[in-house]
Amino acid sequence: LRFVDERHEELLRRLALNDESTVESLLRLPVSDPADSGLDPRTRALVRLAGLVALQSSDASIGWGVTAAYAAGATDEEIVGVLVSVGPVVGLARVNAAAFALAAAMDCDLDLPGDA
Amino acid sequence: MNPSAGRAFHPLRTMPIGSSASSMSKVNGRVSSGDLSRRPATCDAELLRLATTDGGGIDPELPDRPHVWSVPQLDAKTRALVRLGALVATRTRTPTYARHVADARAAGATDDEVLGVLGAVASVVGLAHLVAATVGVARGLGYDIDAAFERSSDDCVLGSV
Repeated sequence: LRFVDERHEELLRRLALNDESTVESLLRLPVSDPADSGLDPRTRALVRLAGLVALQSSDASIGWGVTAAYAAGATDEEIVGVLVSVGPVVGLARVNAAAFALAAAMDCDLDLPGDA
Repeated sequence: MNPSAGRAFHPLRTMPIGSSASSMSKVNGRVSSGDLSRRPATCDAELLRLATTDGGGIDPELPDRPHVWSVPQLDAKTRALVRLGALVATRTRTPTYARHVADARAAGATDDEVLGVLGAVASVVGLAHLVAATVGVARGLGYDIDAAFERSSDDCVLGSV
């Protein structure tokens, strides 16, 4: 393996894990909820999760979105409801990909053959 | 295939609603609609409808069929806002927003909440998607953004963040 500077390695690790403070400092955009966002925190978290699903985000990002939605008071029904709601907009392939990530983030074992 | 004018066409069902497979020829076991180069005039209208609205005949709701389990649903307003967030992320064409913004307002969403969608997905989709979506959402809200651009061109430094 090629030697990679510790700082670079650390940054890549933090980005791959969707570390909130690192992402915030890089984007210069608030990732956490501002007070005057126009949406209540729960709806805001669900809308953001819809964006993550539509972008076919990594498991780490979708996991972050699901955790934030739970923290904002969303229920399992609502989180799966996001997946159902965006289906016609994003298409089957993205819904299918996100279903795996959502299940993992919801600590739900789908018990699929070949799935470790 | 020569569907009569005005007949509903559902892209997902591959044939005009109301037509039957018996009106088509079968080639090698496959249903063929005949010479594809002879595109019916209704196709042009359908393409225009698909390009200018939100898919026209594509029902944004789930297919109305009985399920053996209950499908989790969001309330109408949240569903409309969630879909709008997904649209921003897909970087759809500007005219598509109009219908979804209208859906959200019809479901009781305020202008603040519709704009709140942009803020909610901003960090996720990034600046490029956000700026592209803003024009569509603004037009969907009935805001004359072109006029605003003209007004602001003199006293606004575009590109500054």
